[in-house]
Formats: sequence, C-alpha cells, structure tokens
Amino acid sequence: MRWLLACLMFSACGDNVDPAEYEPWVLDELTPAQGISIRTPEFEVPAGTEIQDCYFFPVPDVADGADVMIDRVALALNTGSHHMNVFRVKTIRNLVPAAGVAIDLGGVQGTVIYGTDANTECWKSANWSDWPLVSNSQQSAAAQHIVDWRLPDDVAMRLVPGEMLMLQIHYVNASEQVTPFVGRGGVNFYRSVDGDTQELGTLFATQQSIRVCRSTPRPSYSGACTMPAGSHTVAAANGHFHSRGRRFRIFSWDGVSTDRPGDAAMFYDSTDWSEPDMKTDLEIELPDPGGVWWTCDYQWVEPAGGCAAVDARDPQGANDCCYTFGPLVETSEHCNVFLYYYPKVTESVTCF
Amino acid sequence: MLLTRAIAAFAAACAAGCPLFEKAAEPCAIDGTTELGIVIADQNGNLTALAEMGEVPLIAAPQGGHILLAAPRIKMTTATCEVQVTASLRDLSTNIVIGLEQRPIRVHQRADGWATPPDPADLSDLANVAVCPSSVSMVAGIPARLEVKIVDPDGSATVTTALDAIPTCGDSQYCVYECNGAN
Repeated sequence: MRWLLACLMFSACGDNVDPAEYEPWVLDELTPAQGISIRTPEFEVPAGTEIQDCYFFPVPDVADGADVMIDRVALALNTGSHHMNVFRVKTIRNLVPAAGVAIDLGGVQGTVIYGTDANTECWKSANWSDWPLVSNSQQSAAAQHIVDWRLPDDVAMRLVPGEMLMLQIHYVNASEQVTPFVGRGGVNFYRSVDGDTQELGTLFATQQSIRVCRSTPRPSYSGACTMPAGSHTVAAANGHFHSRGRRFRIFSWDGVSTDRPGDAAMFYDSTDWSEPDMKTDLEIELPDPGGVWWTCDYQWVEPAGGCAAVDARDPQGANDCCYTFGPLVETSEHCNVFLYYYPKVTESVTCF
Repeated sequence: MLLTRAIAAFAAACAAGCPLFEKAAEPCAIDGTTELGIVIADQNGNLTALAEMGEVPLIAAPQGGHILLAAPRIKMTTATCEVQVTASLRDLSTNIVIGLEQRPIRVHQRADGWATPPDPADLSDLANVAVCPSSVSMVAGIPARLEVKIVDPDGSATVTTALDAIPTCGDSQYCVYECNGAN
C-alpha cells in the first residue's frame, strides 16, 4: 500500500530509481550450431503508460535449410513486463509484418510494429487469432528474469527456416505494474542434438466477453477445451489474468462432464497475477478423450484512477465500473491459458 | 490532500449519478422444481427461445473463432437475479463436449413470467460457448446437444436442461471453413 501511495503521489512510478541499480539479464549468445538468439532493443516505458510492441522475424537458417528441433527455450525480460509471447505468423489480417519498421533483433533482421497506443493493431488479438503459440513468459521480477525451460526427454519443438514468427512484448509502467528501468526481452532457442522424436504442441485458450463489476464483485469464469483424439501429455502451463484475478486453476478433464473436475485433477494453481509461474515438468497425461478445464476467479477492486476509464471501455455502458475483456492491465481483464503438450497432433489447439 | 481530492471527486460523481447506485443482483432462488429453458442470441443480440432442433447462430467472436451464445430462461418471480451458468455443446455421435463455458449471468423477469438476459443482449450477457475451430467435431449444420445448467450460490441445487440444436453459419463462408474445414 505504501508503494502504491508513493506511485500515486509522484505519478511516475519508476522515475525515482537509481540507474546504477539496473542489472540487465544475460542470456547465452548462441552460435548457429547451438541455436537461435533473438533480442529486442531496450526501450523506454514512460510513466503512466502501457506499451505493446510486435517484432517479426523469419526463423534463421542455421541447419543448411533443414528444420531445427528445439529442446530448450530461455526467455528473459526486464522488470515491468506483463508478458512476452512468441507466435507463428499465419493468416495476416491488419497486423502486417512487412508494414513494420526494419529492426535488428540481436543479429536477426526483422520488423517491428510499435504499440504505444492501445488502438493500434499490435493490441488487437483478432489479428493473431490463428497464430499458433510457440513460447511465452510472464516472469520479469528481479529474482526471476529468465524462464529457462528444458523440454522433457525425447521432446522438441520444430522451427522451419524462413517461417515468420512474432515476438510480442507488453510493458507497463503505471499503478498496477512498474517498469523501473527500461523494457527489453530476449529468447534463446537451443537446438536439440540428441535426436528427440516427439514434437511439442501448444494450446491457447481464452474466455471472451468477461466482466468484473462493482455489482458482481466476485465472478468466476470457466472454460474447457477438448484435445484431438490420442494420448497427450501436458509438459508445461501458465495462466494469465490481470490484477483483479485472484486464482487461476487448470485441470485435466474427461471431455464429457460439464462439472468442474475435482482438486485431484488440478495441475496448475496460481494466485499470482503479475508474475505467474510457468509450471514445467508437469508430465500430466490427459484422458482420451479429454482435455483441459480452467477457472479464473476474480475480485473487483476500485480502479486506482477511478471508474471513468473502465466505464469508457464497457460495451454495455452500464456505469457499473466493470473491467471488461481486453489487453490493458489497468482497465481490462483476461483469462488465458498457455499450455504445452506432446506429442503434437495438429498445428495448434485453440479454444476461444 | 489526495484524500480530500478523492472525496471531492467522489461527491461530484455521485451528484451526477452515483455509480454505487448499481445494485448487486440477488442470487436466483432455484431448486429441483425450477422450470428451465434455453435462450440463444444472434449477432445483433436478439434473443430467441430455443426449440428442439432449432437453429443456433454461430457468431464471429471478437478474438477470433466462432461462438454460440446461450443462456437460461427461468420461470421465477424475482425481478432480477443472478445465477452461475454452464453452457455446453455436445457431439451427438461421440458424446464429447465440443465447447463449454461457465459464467455468472443476470436474468430479468419478462411479462410472460420467464426471466432471461436483457433483449437485445450484449455478448457478455450470455455464455460464450467457443465451438469453432474444433479439434474433435465438425460443427456447422451438424445437430448437436446444447445443454444449460444453473447452480444456486451455495451449490446445493442444480437444474439442467438440454435440447438438440443445429449450429448455423448463415451466409458466412469463413464460418463454414472455420467450423468444418479442418475436419
């Protein structure tokens, strides 16, 4: 609370830090034989703002034209990030890689479409609705800048040279999250050298049109997603919501019942909205048929800046101080699942 | 100083129509005798009471994919109340659930004694059941079972109803592709 009051009084969270305290994260610089390194530039996140930038780059050819199998991924973020997601670019709607500004991403050439304004295309999720998830991180606190995930034995993700990827990075420097120094993200994709035979698949799910309102202060939203036929093992997962989120649970599910599975089936349980863990090494075998069920529990709280901003976003115009579905941490809410499984059976499992 | 300003701002807001006047809805009083039906909405939010083998519009969702919008219609005397709703679409041949969503829904009593979401409705007034694309079934034009379940606040009473229905794309070829193309 003292920290929040200080932020409100100075209205420039992050301005009063000693630059000498800045300790940038460090990832290995990979050779082509080792894998692929991607680095965003450092960028300012002005007080009172949220920034979401979309970086595009083709997968470098590091294996003489052959596909590259990746069995370790390290994702790094400076403090203040809300998320960093990597997707495979598929149908191009209004977020056009070629329309971006040329940029060097640590030796890999790409483009960037900046999103300093939440009305721009890098903020509009319909633009990447059929873009399969590659990897993600929500961890940027000083003690855990880097998510370093070694995939299960015999499992690897496939990257195809020339295939376009998008690295999307979201930074906040406002009342809910603070960027004390500068924004910056990086990813290392480490090449598999031990002949992994099972390919990693991903699932992305979200609850749309959610509302967390003053008059309905403790809503709970759930969804369920059926996997394609076959045997699937969940390797890793993380949930994503904003600061009204109180508990995010993911369960294995039989694909038939319409009741939430019991606690024995729960494999992810997080109460941390700002730095939710990426749970790895889960080794959860899903029922066949079956899939996953997730539940997001919320608690409405008075917006730090008053209700005007959230009311302005409410498509119902209910004047009920409702946080509605959307990407802005300060004024909207999410309920998203990022899940990694093997063996992959389809390009991507999407549930929204 | 900040506190004084906050109080002043709050007083001014209340003078113009205090947002705290939005009342929390009472939980719907339901038990095993509660009469329950299903309403669906089209892309304009217009509600229709679903009949057996009725058509259910598939609607392009804001974040992508296609959803169907379903909610309970409940026979009751309360003017406005809120209930936790689970809506799902089930493949008739495999019994597998194609899509499912659970959310709180507020219903308002109408002249005929049935309580439903407002008409016309907003997307958030009904369950958003994500059904396309599906990894397990073709959806458009294929009869499936639409089930709506309501639970009272303490979880002690559950009422469920289900109807076979036909999810329908209308004129959208993209909808047909997204709902049936991958299978």
